[in-house]
Amino acid sequence: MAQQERPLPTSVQTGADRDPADERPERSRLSRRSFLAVTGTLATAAVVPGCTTGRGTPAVPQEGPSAAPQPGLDVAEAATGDRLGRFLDPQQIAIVAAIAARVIPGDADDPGAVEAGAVEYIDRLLATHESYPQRTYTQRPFAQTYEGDTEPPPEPGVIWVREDQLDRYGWQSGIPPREIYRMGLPRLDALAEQRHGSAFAELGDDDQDALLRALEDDEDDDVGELFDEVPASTFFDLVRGHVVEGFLADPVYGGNRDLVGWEHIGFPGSQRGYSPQELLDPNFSRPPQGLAQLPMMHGAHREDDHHDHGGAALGSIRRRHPNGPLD
Amino acid sequence: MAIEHPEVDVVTMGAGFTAAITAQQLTAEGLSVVSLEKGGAKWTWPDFAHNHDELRFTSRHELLHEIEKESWTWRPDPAAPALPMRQYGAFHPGTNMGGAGTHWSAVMWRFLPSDYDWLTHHTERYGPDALPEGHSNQDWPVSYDDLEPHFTQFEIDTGMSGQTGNLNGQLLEGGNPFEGPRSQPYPLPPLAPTRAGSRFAEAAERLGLRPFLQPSSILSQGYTDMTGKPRSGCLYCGYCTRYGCEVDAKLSPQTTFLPLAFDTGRYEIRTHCYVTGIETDNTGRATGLTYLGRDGREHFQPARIILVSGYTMSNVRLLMLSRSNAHPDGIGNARGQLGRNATHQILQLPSIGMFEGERFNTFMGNTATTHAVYEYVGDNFDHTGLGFVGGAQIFPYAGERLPIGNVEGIPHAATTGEENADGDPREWGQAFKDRMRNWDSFIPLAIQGDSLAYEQNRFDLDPNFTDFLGRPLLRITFDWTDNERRLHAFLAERCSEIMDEMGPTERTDQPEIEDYNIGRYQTTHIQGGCIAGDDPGNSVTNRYGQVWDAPNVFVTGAALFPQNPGANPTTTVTAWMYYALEAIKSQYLRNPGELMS
Repeated sequence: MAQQERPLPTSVQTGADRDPADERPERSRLSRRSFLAVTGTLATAAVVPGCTTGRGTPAVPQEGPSAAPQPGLDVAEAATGDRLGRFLDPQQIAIVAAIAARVIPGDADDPGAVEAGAVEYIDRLLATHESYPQRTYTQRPFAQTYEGDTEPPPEPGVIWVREDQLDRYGWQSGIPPREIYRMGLPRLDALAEQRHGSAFAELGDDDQDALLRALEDDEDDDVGELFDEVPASTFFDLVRGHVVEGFLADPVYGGNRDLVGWEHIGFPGSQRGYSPQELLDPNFSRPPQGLAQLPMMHGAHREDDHHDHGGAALGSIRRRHPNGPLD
Repeated sequence: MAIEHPEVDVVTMGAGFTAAITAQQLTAEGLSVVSLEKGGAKWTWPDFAHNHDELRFTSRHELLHEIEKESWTWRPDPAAPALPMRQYGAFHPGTNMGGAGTHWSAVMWRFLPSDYDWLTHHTERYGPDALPEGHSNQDWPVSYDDLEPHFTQFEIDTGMSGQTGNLNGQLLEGGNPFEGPRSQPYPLPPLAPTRAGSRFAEAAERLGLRPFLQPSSILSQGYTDMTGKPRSGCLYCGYCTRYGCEVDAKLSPQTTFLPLAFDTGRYEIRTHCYVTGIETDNTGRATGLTYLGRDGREHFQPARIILVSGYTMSNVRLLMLSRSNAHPDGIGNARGQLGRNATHQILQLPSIGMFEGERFNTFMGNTATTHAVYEYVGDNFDHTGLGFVGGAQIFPYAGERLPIGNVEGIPHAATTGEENADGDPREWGQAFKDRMRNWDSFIPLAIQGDSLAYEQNRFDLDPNFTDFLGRPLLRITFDWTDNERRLHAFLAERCSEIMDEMGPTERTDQPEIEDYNIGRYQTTHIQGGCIAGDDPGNSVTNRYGQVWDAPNVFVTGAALFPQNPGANPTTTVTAWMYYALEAIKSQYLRNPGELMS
């Protein structure tokens, strides 16, 4: 059973996409930090509207609500060239960018996540990984939580876990990141509409922060109503974590542009090494560099090459043995 | 029908440390050895030459076992539900040629002499009533003195860095005064001191403790190991645990044992081969290993000796799954011993100090490049009246720090509204961005300690979840007991005292141990389940790792440990392999059969 891709709530749908017959089914409320069990099968790749092939004009509108200027954010600027739109559509880009701008705020003088390219990082991540970006065991059955001390009667395909114990088991959802984004982003917009009458990306900083806090805390009532398939905190934690990655991962992944994340914290990045004197230097500083700037280990394949560390010949570096496996 | 290969002398499950040591030693004796490795093959050059990528190796666990194919389930106790570890959490087993020996931290402790005769020692000192309720600790079938020559030989063979503290009973300044007597000094001086380590050491010394630089299988200088070829000293690059070392400074099977085994022409590693069972004949004698080949077909590799040499839990599971008429409950399980004494080493950070305005260069070096104190390890202190047994080392957790995983949980002045509904700080917003700047200014004090054995903590097969072939996963039943909670509380007080002396500007202290959580990294030091002993009634194997009911099946690694002392296990894993191979070479090869009866 593939997950059905859910349509956007009407508040953010264009007329062409709207299907009035589609009513969101009633579901029981999810308790805090608990995951609803779903099938472990992974969704098949959906055709992403507005996705470009990486060449030509990006599908980012220059007008309309989603492109409205944000404090510290210019979506059009963030989407220069062919960087964006591999997975996220323009509306989703606007919401992700607005979240990123609140998770690690910034501006041109003090770059934050948006300036670092975290939105591009997330767009690429979701385009690259149809299921999970990291190894995940997806076999059924999934956990269902219950409150109180009485375990509900056994049900096929369900493992009952007391709600206050679920946290001890780590990630237990069967819903991969793409679908959590697809479900979560429009719901965040719907929540913004309900509470403030406009899309999330159009709100001021304080209102955006309040909404994100409501997600992180799985606030009751309206949040729980909207986030009925994936807890709001799960959605928030996932996006927040990806924003941090987009700020601090190697630039090869599309974020940490110009190494601004590493500059911010004072991390030299990918270096071949440091000396024992540098280990003890209270004022140590070295400009950061990414993997792309890391010098190659030239000569590791040459028997006559020596380097300066420890007197060992680089030529003695252990290479594939002729009798060893090929891969 | 399985594809049958020509018989070899030895077949091993996996090509990690113990398999590589065995291959090197037994091919040198003229034997043929085949290793069936579920992962691929990676070498220092070119595979590790350009791997400084936190996202790929730390966040996404590039070098770890394929959990998506085969995971483990966990429950805290038999009454609780067991769920699978769906994404990497509490432990990090390896895959590929070299196993976890490529991505390990290479911290190398010998256990204390009193860790081996644990039960006798503690009973004599404190009386049987002082031991924790429900414990199932027992003496090891080998002693420190049995292993000492092998510790030493391994150090010379591979190169090891450290400050000798006890040379033949003579205490030496600057080393670990609590270590068991060494017959030889460390081959190399210790790794270079760090700012965080020095800050910790100065505070500890003022409190009357005796800190020293940790021993490690990372070379502090160039060293020519048993291959006859030099290896580089450490470059302190900071990409170590979960990474392969690009200059061979960190010992791995690839640097030392595998090249020698391949040199003989009598060793083969078959990659992308997933071992599924130990085959036996009608009499119950093991005949070889069945495996899923990279062609997706079932293969059979007959061998005269079968080495069960995967990760702790892989070994236990393979024995449990290898059922036949002669071994209805799995091999080595005729007396219900298989799965007993599951332990998981405690690693906690009870005290974290922030030193506003200072930088410690914590992104350099390795976990091992700091000082430690050993006053509170094992039975190095009097436990009378404390209500617990065991202990832990204390050391600053400050090396190889990388940003993605380390910008959260930074101690800071409490301000209102920053906590989420879970009571944790909100790790986002301007305050989070500001705190990030301090990511190199904090020092956690870590404790790594004993995980004693209890009747209730064990491994068995899970009734609900299977691997990619439809075979049951291994189920872990494990939780802390009051003994560990008290141990943690005591050690947390000691950490707090040291932190007081270090003088942080902000701090976070955690006196109580957190609930055991399969989703959070603890250590990869899971041990037991296939324990070694002196009697078939209290163990699965004898002191050589030879399975009591299957004399040509040898189990290796930490699965043999009756309980888990308060230090990293690899030193004992490798020395115990040396010890077992000495008996295999001198006795078993001439006269295959029970080495102990």
